[in-house]
Amino acid sequence: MLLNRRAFLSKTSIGLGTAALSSLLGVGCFKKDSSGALSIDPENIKIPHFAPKAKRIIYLFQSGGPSQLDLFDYKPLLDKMRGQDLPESIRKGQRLTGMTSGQTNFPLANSIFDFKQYGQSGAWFSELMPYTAQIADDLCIVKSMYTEAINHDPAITFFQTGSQQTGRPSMGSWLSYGLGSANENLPTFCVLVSRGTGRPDGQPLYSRLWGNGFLHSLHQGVVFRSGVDPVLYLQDPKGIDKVTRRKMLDQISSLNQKQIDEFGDPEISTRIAQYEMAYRMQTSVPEIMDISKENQQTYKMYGPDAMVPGTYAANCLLARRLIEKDVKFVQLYHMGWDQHADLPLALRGQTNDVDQATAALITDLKQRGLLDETLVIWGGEFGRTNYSQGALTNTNYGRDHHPRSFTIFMAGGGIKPGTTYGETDDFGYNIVENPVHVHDFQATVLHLLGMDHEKLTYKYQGRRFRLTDVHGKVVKDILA
Amino acid sequence: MNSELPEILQFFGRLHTVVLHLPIGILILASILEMASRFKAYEKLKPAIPFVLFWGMIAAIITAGFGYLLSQEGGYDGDAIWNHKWLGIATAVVSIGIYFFRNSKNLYLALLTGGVILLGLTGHTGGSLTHGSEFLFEPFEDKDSKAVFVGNIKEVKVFNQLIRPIFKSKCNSCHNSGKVKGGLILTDTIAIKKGGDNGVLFIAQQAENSLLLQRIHLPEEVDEHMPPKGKKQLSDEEIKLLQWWISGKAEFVKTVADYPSDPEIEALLKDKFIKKKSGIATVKISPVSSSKIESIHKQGLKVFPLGNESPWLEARLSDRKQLRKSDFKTIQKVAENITILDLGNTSLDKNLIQNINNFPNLSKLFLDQTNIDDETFQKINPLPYLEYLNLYACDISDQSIEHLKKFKELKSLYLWQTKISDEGINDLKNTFPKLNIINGKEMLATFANAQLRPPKIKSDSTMFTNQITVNLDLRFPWAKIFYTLDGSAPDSTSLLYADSILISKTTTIKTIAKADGWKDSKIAEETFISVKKRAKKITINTPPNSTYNGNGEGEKILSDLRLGTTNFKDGKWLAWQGKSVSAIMDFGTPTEMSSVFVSALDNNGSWIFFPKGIKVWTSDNGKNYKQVATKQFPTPTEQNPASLRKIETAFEKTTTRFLKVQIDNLGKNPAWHPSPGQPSWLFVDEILIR
Repeated sequence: MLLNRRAFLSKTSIGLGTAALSSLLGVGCFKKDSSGALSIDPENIKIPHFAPKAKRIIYLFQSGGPSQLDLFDYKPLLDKMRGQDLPESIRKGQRLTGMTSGQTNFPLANSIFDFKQYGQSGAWFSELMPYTAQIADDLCIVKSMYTEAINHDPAITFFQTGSQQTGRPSMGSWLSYGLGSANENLPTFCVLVSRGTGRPDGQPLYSRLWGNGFLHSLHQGVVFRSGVDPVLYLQDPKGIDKVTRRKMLDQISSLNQKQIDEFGDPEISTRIAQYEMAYRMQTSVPEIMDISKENQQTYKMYGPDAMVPGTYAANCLLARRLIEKDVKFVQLYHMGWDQHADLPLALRGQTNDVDQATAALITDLKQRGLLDETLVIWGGEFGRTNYSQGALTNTNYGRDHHPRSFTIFMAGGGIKPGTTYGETDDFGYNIVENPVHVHDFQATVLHLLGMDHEKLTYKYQGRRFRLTDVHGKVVKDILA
Repeated sequence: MNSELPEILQFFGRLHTVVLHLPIGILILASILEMASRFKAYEKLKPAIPFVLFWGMIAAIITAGFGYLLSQEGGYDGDAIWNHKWLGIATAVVSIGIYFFRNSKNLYLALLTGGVILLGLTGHTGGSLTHGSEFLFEPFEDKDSKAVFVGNIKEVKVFNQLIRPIFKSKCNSCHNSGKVKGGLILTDTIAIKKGGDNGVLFIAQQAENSLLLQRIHLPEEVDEHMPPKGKKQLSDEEIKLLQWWISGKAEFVKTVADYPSDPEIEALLKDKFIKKKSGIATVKISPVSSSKIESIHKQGLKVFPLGNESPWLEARLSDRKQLRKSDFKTIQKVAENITILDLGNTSLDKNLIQNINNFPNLSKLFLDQTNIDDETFQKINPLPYLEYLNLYACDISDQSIEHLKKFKELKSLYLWQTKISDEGINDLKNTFPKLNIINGKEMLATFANAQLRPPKIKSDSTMFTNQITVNLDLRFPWAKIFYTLDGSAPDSTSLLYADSILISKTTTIKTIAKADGWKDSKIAEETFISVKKRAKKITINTPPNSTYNGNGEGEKILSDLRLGTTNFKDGKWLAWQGKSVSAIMDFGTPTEMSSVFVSALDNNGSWIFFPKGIKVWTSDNGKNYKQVATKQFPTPTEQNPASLRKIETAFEKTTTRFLKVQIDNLGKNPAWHPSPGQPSWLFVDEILIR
């Protein structure tokens, strides 16, 4: 018999019991018992390392790099020094992207937008975020994020997987692997994507950003699309009814079972579990997507856009509906934050898309008593420069990518509300207080979910991998 | 001291900690043999005893000898080492005695008994030297009862209550009067002041020169780092405390009040001395076996441990629309351990509610979106540890206020979409000022001014020849859409949109959305241009760039009435870089016209500019052209947002068959542009006449 190495190794380990093996590899938490009823598979219960503060995450990823200097990080010095060249004493040899490397000077650009302080915490927001500003006291704003990458794809990949190189599991996959599922009818890691009006033709997103890497394919993110077919290939083809589908699955399952008995490859049991999950999702997904029972008040909060499938607002509402059903990780991506040029107009479009819906989501979770168990994160892959890319005029400017400092904010589960953490210099270029590296951020997120980032490992190609590689420190100061 | 000892002897000395296990094992084996051989079944073991005793003696002598060598190496001092040394020597001597007097019955037995006792004592004193004297009995200590709470953190004794415990837990196992590593003792104040072989540890108010802090801050890999690699390290808190102590007076009797105040330290002290544990944290409970949890899972119920280190469980029964008494029965097997119970969105009713009373240790209870009303709610006993209660969307009114007040530990209460009035909430707030009540109503104020989005004006094009259908799209069933066709601003008296609008002449549609409780949308408008005559054929003299050639359609798309978008890659544009273009339009028959529209794109960031100028010629035969208009536009002086424009060039009304339009490219990016002097782009999607 021909056996490849992996199959051989799997086969030889049958003696250990395939169940134990699949548990080590983290196959799903739910299984069918002999009577056909669904039950929790006791072999596969995942327990956090310690009692978690948050049970679920909604990650509102703002793809493209929102301009922190036009939204959160108010710098009066830029008003004074507008148009002057960025001093080398501040830039300190920071590398540039190909888009501004040819630029002969770097005119400092203040924000065209007005800033004010909000809430008891006195957090700064520009006029572009009026709704989010209203809930300032629920937020923890981190102004001192920094990253190592300077271009979109490596930077997003770094945020999502802890590595600029592709191929590692996404954060949601790590959590699925570490925490298991709490709802047998829906994927643990769901993904929702929307396009921004600020730059509709901006960078694309790659599906590997929510990929499982070397973890079991069970842990990959499942994209919910707008439109008639939210999850691709889920609905039965025309002419196939439920009974036929069930019979077919039972047949496939018995064939697969034979393969397991012979080869013991755990990927086969994953496959069976995935088929069953898809079958259950034929019912659960339409239920989730059916927003007809949401009342007008909900739309008043999220904004009328929430009625338009595929918008950021609609995705925020869906995120809440998924969280209510105990989905562990909902990842939204909103594209179009890449304002190299025409920033004033485009940023207005972007913030129109997200501001109200973001505030609504956090408020909605709070009203329903879900916020203290749900961690909401809002932020992009890097920030934008304090100088203008291209010409600086009275009404127009652009900003290039800036990895050295940018702002994100969080709310809910285990985060200290009403705080602003970290600080940048008066130029808004370098961090002067409490820097937070991407790996620190990831370590903190895992910590909030009860996972020790140094212990959540997976052995692959002869070594143990972590989301935080060999770095990362939990930012204790922002924990409640 | 250690320099006097040859290396090989140091090596043997250090083997002490290995070989010491041999005499313990062998001599104990000998006494077991001695006892066992008195029984008939094991009589035949008797001859082996002398052999075992012999090797026990040898092992004891070697161990004592090595131990002596180790003691010469230094780092050990005082009573403890003295005791251990002499006990060890005594053990060796006694083991010799046992062997040689093995035939004199009573003496032998006395020596053997004494030897075993000596072994125990020697072993214990040795263990204390290595691990610290409290090592053995530490597990029995009740840490909570040792915690001291004070009324005011200013009264906390800095050395005794803050610093000494750090030394005790992290340093004293090697720096005590028994084991004096580096000549340093950290158990009494005089010795702490004196320092060790390398000098004094600190001078008050000179934290930066402190040897103690230096050693702590060195990287763990460095040999001089303290505590040594592998030992339990100091926590950040402990380091902060030491630093603060040394930066201050660094003495031994004063209280916090005498030290410089530091908000971080104060917070830390508050945590340590003021915040008394209360509520659920005081309940001690042992974890349940995983087999018990498994048996619950087999019934399909979700009960999970909170974490690996926690004995507490959460039970998630949410979304069960057929909740049964048996479900409660099942999870009741671990009732005491369940601290989170989620019954949200279930069919919980007045018959089932009493089951909640079987879970005495609940700290978090979800009853949201259930049918429980005031009467049902009364049936829940006041749970003594309940900190979180979610009643969102329950049929609860002010009648439940008095019952709610009985939950004394409550910290968060969710009352959104209940019937509890503002007075009721105020009543609760007055009784429990620290209770966090989320009733959601005030949060709605944030969204009170929510504005409707303007309807989307949808049509195939904004230009047409005969007629065009226009739809107004809002996708918001609660709103009404009003519109005008005469250019006036729409309001609630304007036309109410019901179905698609048919337009047959040049018209501007203005539309607005309105709904009760919402701010009116902004007005959206769009102009639809009726184009009666289109060119039958258009030819251009300069071919467009191959990337932007209208998806290969070329000049044909210049009169297809399909407009491009600001996305210049949408395939509806023709583009030329650095070059101008002229187009000849043949209308087939003489046609009346008075102006020409050139629809162009401006996107300066991408080097795209509106044309610099437009020239127009007419001809009846396609050979002789007469120039009828020329238009020049100023070069832009700053970057503009991307935009579309239909540039109209008017001329005297004429009837003609051929029209030539020359569209001039700006040529080069202006001086202010990031890439000045580079060839700029011209993007055109339609050329039409009026």
